[in-house]
Amino acid sequence: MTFDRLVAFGKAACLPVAIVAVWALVTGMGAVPAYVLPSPRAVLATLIDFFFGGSTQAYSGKFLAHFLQSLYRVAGGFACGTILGIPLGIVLGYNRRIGAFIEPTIELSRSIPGICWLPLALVWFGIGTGTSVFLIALGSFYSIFLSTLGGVRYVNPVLLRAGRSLGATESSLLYTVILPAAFPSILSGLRLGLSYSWIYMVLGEFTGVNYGLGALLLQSRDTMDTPLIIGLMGVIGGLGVISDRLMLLFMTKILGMDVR
Amino acid sequence: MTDTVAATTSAAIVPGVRGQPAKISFRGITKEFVSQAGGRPIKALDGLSLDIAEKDFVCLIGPSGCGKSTLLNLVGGFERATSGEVLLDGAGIAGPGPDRGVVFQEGALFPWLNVLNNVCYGPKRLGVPRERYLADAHAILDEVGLLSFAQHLPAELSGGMRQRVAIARALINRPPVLLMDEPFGALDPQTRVLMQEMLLRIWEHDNRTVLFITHDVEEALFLGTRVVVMSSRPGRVLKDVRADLPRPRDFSVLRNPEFVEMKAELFALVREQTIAAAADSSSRASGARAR
Repeated sequence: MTFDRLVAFGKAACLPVAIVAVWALVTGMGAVPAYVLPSPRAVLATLIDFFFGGSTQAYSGKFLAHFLQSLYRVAGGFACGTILGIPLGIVLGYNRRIGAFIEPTIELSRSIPGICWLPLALVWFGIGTGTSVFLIALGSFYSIFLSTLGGVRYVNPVLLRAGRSLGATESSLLYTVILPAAFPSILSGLRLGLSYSWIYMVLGEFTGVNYGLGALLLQSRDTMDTPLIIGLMGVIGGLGVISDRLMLLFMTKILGMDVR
Repeated sequence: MTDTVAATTSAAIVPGVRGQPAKISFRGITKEFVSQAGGRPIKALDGLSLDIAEKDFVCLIGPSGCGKSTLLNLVGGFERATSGEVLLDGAGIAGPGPDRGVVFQEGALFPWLNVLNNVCYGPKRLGVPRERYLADAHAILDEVGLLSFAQHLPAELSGGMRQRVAIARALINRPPVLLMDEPFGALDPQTRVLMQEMLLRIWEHDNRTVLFITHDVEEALFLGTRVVVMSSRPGRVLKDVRADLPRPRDFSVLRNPEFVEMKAELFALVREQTIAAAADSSSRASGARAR
């Protein structure tokens, strides 16, 4: 890490450190009851217990079990959203005539908040993985679809002219110019879609499944385990950041694609 | 020495090269654009006719908005005329194709491909064997002085280097016609002169037909075998001048008395048209206010 990055990291860390300090101070003075706001130390202890075990609590040492369930749902839903969103975005972005039939409907359906689909999803898929996967697919689909469509439709026309004048046929133009030019936009749609996936994962698991980070979050409210509530919020947020970084790394380093 | 020809030539024969069919022929071209805001369509070209012989290096000059780029886009197959026809070797133009290389103003390189892959794009699409196009690409990159930058991305190059890649990319297909749309317009004056000299060196070596759009009178005279001045909108051919200055040329021709005289004459003509264009657009604006 260079000195500049170290300085930048230091600046970024100022506010979180201050917040934790105030938090520790407030809880240390006993100004608020522990069930409303536990101390940072209590949250940390709960998290360590959650990850590595050591107590008789039901969640003790169960991080991996809950995480894998949630990951399974996120991966399934995100995969569905991607498999639908990217091809549909390419086709509708490339061909305005087909787009005229389908786009307005998608635009209209997008204005229904994702959370409104929950009751219907429960009727269709019941409590459990089906509903979660459906909500995650729905939540990630729109951002992936729209970014792909925009990226494909608004390729710099000079690049298309260049490709055609150099001998590209319409089909080779799609693979050699349109998709590479749209790639940064598609990638940003995938990143946005993945972050929505974690959000809708929590919503789907709030329906009362036994395992999953979102399910545990709801259960910890029932048991008034405030340290676990706060700890899980941090864990879910952290997983979102990690999955985003991993995807970026995969796209740029492994697939060798450039991101502008 | 200068041979000024009539503005409209009906036969597909270039005066001075009688008997030889035109490589590119514009016949009674009218082009109208419908503006997004609605209202009357804007007439960019009005019944323009122009013949370009094989191996001619024609420079088109004129005020902004006179339809210079539209003419180039018609030959490139990117746009269609409202009426009239554009012929290439006597046949109509269906669309873009590798027989007409195009060098755009700027920003037309594929930003995700390195210099070598940008240059190889054309021959790859045309199914040229790998060994051959790699050899061609090396030769042509060497010619434009960018062999050592083959692995760089366009974003890592200067504006002049990017345009040299663009020229190499267009030339590797060996197109009989080269279309250039103000390719050096965004470059600084020193770089521009070097680019012009490089282009002349390449052209004097292979003598392909070139249509070169510019708003710079000096550039037009320096490069072209023929300079065509267009009127302000709607664009017509106002003057068609043969630039018979000695070749091979380098920047010393800029001091040639004949060059200086022609430059002054053409500059006055373009200036007149630019003033007319400005007056036209301000009267349009006041007309719009009156409505």
